[in-house]
Amino acid sequence: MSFSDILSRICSSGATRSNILTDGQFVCSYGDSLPLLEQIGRFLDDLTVSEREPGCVALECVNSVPGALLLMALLEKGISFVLAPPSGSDLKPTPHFCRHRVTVAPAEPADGATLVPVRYLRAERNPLFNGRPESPSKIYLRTSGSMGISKLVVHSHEKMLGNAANCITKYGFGSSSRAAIPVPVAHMYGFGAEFLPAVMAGASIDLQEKTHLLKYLERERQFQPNIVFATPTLCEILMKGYKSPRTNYSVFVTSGQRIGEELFRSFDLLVNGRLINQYGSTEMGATAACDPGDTLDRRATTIGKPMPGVDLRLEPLPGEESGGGQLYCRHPYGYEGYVDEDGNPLGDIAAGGWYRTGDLALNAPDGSIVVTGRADASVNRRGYLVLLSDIERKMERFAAVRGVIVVAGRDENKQGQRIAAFCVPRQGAAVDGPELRRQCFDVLPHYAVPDEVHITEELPMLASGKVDRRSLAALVG
Amino acid sequence: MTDQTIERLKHLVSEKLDMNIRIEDIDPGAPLLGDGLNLDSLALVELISLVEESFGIEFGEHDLNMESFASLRNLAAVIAARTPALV
Repeated sequence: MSFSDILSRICSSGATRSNILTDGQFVCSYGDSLPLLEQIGRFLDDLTVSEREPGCVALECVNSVPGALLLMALLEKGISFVLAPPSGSDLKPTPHFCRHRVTVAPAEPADGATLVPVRYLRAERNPLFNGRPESPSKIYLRTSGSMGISKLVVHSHEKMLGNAANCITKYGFGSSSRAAIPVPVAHMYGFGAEFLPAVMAGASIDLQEKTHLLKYLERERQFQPNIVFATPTLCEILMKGYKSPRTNYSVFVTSGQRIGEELFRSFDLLVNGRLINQYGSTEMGATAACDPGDTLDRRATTIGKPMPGVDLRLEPLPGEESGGGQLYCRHPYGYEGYVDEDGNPLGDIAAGGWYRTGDLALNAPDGSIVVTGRADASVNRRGYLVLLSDIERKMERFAAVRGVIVVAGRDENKQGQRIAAFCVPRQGAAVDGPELRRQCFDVLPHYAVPDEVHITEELPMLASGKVDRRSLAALVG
Repeated sequence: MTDQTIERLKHLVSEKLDMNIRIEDIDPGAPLLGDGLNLDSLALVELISLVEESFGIEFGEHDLNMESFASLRNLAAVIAARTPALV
């Protein structure tokens, strides 16, 4: 079924047409969205039809009702678009294969409640457009790799819908779902795993731009969500703000192993045992997750089982004897490849469609997958394979440490490749590097103890929101 | 008393919150988030913990709203209401 068919069904069906999209400022029901979508359709026609060749649109989207309606209109019309968050001060060039750049202005409280979505949309021609003909019905997302090299991941509209359909099944999106979206709709997680499934199910949606504790609590009181996709950081923030457990959630999804088992277990209590860790990537979309009914132990330590149709396999590493290996994924709704800023293809997808996730994993006895760390973040020390993520996990348990990143340097000493740890202390904790290093000897084999332990108040970040490991590695002595 | 509370809050923000904010630049009426002091989402949580620790109070969930944290002046009023009368 095409997106346009799905849309006309949810906008007319009695079960969904009065469900709403809101951003705290505007409220728009699916039933009332049709004339607004037509209005945006004319805005898009002006960009594309007047040209001899329609061009791909570079969209910088925010979490707002106008932004959501624009995404729906692009999908309905099958227009190709690059989806990215607002470039802001970190000015990423508009990809050269895009004829136009479209930005979505945030709504201001002074604007009143009457919604005219095109007032918030700005289009400008891309002066560096290279004339490349549009490849039809594609969605391009920037990679969020931690190595700082920019490339674009190519998806088709059709497979993105398939990926979303998997999430509908997994998380039970339906017409009675109320989905809070505090994560950017401009990333795969917010767009492909939450926004699109919610729209396709005709769920009510609350879009939150740049949320924080007070905003989330207020929106939560007003909207009463029963499903949300959050980040580990938001879970940590809500740990502070939730004075009593929430019973309104049927599923509370988080993503990324950085949540740590301890935070997972304590936050799970506050969301009534409904916390789920989703595993996925910009390339593959939603790949695996536990089911809401799974035991706490399984939810806190594994990524559960693959989404429908997804195959995961482990390729053993030399020197690794725990039965684990590199995690490969074959996904029926995965990406089609990469392109550079000019739209030129960058290499092919691996043979057989097996995508190297770059993660290391183990099979749990019950068939669930346990992700143990990053494959490329390992070093050889005195003949032992040392996973930098293992050191991070041990050091994270130190009372004085709030976060830690462990990187390897280029030089070797008699242990092997040099290792350095960069620790962010807890508020008010008195720590110094040598003392933390002494503590490492209690919890790590001696060959895995970092050669250097640094205290830092702040870790360098990439635009993607991940820690810039490369610039830390450059500091290793 | 609220004036004293505001002064204590200014000290907390400039000295304990690692946001590089100078005490003389703090306007007690300026918004804490966004264009005023421009605290980010983690700094906000840090400030809540610092205030609780420093004033020996614990905010209830109903205190954690946009109005209470609109400015240091509003925050001082919330703290005053929660603190046993100080001499």
